Amino acid sequence: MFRLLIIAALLCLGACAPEPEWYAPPMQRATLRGVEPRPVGSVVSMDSPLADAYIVSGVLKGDPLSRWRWTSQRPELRFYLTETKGLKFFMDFVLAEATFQFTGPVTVRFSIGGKPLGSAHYGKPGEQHYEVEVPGNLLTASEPVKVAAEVDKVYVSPQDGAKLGFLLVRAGFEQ
Amino acid sequence: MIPKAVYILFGASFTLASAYVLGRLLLERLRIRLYREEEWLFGLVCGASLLHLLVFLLCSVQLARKGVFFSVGAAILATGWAKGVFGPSRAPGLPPLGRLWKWLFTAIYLAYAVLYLSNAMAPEMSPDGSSYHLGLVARYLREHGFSCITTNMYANLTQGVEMLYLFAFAFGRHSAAAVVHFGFTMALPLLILTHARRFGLAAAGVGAAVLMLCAPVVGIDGTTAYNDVAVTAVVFSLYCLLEIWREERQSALIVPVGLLAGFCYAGKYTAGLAIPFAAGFLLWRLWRARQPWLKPLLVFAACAAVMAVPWAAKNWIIVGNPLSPFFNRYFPNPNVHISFEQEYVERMRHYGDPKSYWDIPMDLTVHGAMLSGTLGPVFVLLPLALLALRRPRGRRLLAAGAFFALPYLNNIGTRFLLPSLPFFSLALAMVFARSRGVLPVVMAAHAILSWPHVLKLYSSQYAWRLERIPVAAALRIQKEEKYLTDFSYGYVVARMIEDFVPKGEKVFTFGGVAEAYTTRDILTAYQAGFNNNLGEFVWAGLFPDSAPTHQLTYTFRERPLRHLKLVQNNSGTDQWSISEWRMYKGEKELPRSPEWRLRAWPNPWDAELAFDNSLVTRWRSWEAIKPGMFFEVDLGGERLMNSVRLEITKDQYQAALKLYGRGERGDWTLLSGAMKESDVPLMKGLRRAAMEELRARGVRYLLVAPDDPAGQDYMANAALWGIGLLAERGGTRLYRINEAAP
Repeated sequence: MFRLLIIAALLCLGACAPEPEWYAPPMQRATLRGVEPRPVGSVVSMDSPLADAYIVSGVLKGDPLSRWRWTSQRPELRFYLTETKGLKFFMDFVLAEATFQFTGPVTVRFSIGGKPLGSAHYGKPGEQHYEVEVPGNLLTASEPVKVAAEVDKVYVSPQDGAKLGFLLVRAGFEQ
Repeated sequence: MIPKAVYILFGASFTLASAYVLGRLLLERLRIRLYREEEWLFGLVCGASLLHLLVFLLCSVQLARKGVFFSVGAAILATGWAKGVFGPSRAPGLPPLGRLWKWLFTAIYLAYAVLYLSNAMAPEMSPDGSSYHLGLVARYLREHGFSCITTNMYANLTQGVEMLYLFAFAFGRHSAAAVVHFGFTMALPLLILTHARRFGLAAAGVGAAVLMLCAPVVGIDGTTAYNDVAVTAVVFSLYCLLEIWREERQSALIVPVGLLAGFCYAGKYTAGLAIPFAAGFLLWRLWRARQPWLKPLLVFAACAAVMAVPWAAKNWIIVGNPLSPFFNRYFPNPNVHISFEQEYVERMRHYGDPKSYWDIPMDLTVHGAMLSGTLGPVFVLLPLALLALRRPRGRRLLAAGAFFALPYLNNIGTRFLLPSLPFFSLALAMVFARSRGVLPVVMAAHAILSWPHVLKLYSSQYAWRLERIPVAAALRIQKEEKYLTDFSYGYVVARMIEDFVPKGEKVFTFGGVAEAYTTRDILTAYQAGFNNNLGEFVWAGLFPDSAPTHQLTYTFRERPLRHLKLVQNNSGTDQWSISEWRMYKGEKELPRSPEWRLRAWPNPWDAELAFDNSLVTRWRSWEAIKPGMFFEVDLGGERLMNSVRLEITKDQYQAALKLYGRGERGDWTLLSGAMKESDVPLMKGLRRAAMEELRARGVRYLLVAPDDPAGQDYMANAALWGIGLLAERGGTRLYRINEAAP
């Protein structure tokens, strides 16, 4: 009888489930306003800590905060613009002597959202500056603007097969 | 200046010597009659159980300090000296080994001792050792004992062996802990050999000892701050003592048997099987011999409880579940979610996702990549051990091996076979020993094939194995910092955290960190309920499916209501969640009041997240839906209203909800007759809101591995998250969460 009582008591205990506790509403968070800052601006330097945010593809990783970074054949960057009229696109870059020896003169073709913007031919290595006025119909202020620069010849590293285009320094849109 | 290697060796040998003395004192006190060799080995293992308990108690009273450990160890050694523990033993020695066996065993044993010691003394960088085994040990030493850790489920595992590591770590840091493990690794073959010699199986004992000693997974595990080989040594010691008791019926043996069974549980949950094993063994033998069983069983249970119960009590007090991080369904708590437990157990069961179960034997014995380690090709012959079934001792060994292999069904990593390996090795060696000349060939083949330079010729390059004989690093001729920087990426990342994150700050990450090398508080997304929530907030900012883009609106006749209750009535695999619960009178939302009260089942602890006005937080069931789950609101008094709106995520198609309401009095009335579903556009600003939630919980730093799901987005949208890059090492980035703009 005693054993039966113990078993019954254990069974009763097993049937118990704790009641969940009550909680008060917590401190209220501010209501979201449905707007957010733009993730990138209209100009980027490769030594900026935010440079990665501008890169869509084709720019190799470099030393943190280095002044320049290697590109592959077709680097693509993105920018947010606050206006679209009267803007010039520019790019500062370097054609490295070490790669120029192998590629010889190169042509770089620039495009915005896949539409041609212009091109330039470079017959010698060193620092280069490209600049071109951009028709307003190629630009938008509501979405990121993607700009690509495709170089016709690249240096292919014999060690790892990496394709190197040029050293990108700075690019963006300005008045 | 005293070389670092001296500190390492002192820390480890001081720990092992203290354990040995405690064990010898216990065995002498109990007047247990053993052979001399057994006194040494069982002294070490039994003493380890006692020392672990002592360190546990010191941690519990916040006395885990180097000076205290030194005083305790010195007092133990002095007592041992006074009691003659270090003097010659009066116990008889075991029958001597034959000359061939002695030389063969000694040669292999010494060669592997050099290999293993150099690796154990080298800077510790094993994955689990440098993350949680020693991460927690280092934390206990910093905080002088146990603290209320609820954000790391590994702190809820039993840490019996880690208590010994803590004792050694205080003097020789990380490598001293690994050398303590090395001590057990070298003791285990001797235990096997001693056991075999006692029962007239010397040749088989030598063979089994070598099979165990040289197994590559024993080498890598037993020379790092893991604990599997030490636990295996305890399991096998328990079996040896049970066998001695079976033969001699010394009643005093029940005490160390109980202590070791409990210590198995304290060492590793999976080895907790030792308790039913030993209890069943004792009960069966006493029953068959028609001897009284109650008192021996009670003594056994009391001794086992002394070792095991403190760990269960610690968990119950700190995380609300004595068996955490498992059995959360039976001990509901906010610290480990049921869904996580299920995923974790499932992942361990399938490990590296073998294409077929036939892949497992090859990986276990040769490749070693998928299951993290290999036993060595000789173990392909393991099925031959079944021939040992012809002898009673063989049957008992195989039965014990099979019993301790049971956890393997739930975790197919190679090291989870270790507790059963001494039994299988001895059974296999018994079979080989019956054919003249076979056993020495097998032993030599195993020793050669398991040597790192040979092993790398046939095993996978990704196998978890020893790779070198790092004598210069072991002796610190090669600087520790340089060695770790060269070979351990985890160390480099941990040092980045140490360099850039201020003291006392928390770092949130989705991946693991070598926590043994940083003093900052790391919150890894999968390791606790609190951390799961932090990960949820980030995901809500990252993936539209994790944000509330769906609404359920319940409209009813305007009426005064005090209580509202949402009941889920379906079964399925989805989880139920509520991002925000809002109530309306006409178009106007009822302003939330401190008088309101909320409760939910399951997961009552997060009920507030459905009422915080944040779209990145949500109350979530954290287990698959089942009928009866509910969320209830008490408004403190009647309020007029005519609709309820739930803002939810879309990942819960299976949930079937009914809304009930009632006033101050009366019965519950169904309100959900007219329910409208609608999608709403994704709100902007969720990324920043997620970071605000992290900051509100004291987290100001993010660690992002290259393969982190949020990595690319953090990089591309740092301004939207409100984070700034602090440092980067090999692709792993450390961000600081900026303060919100006023």
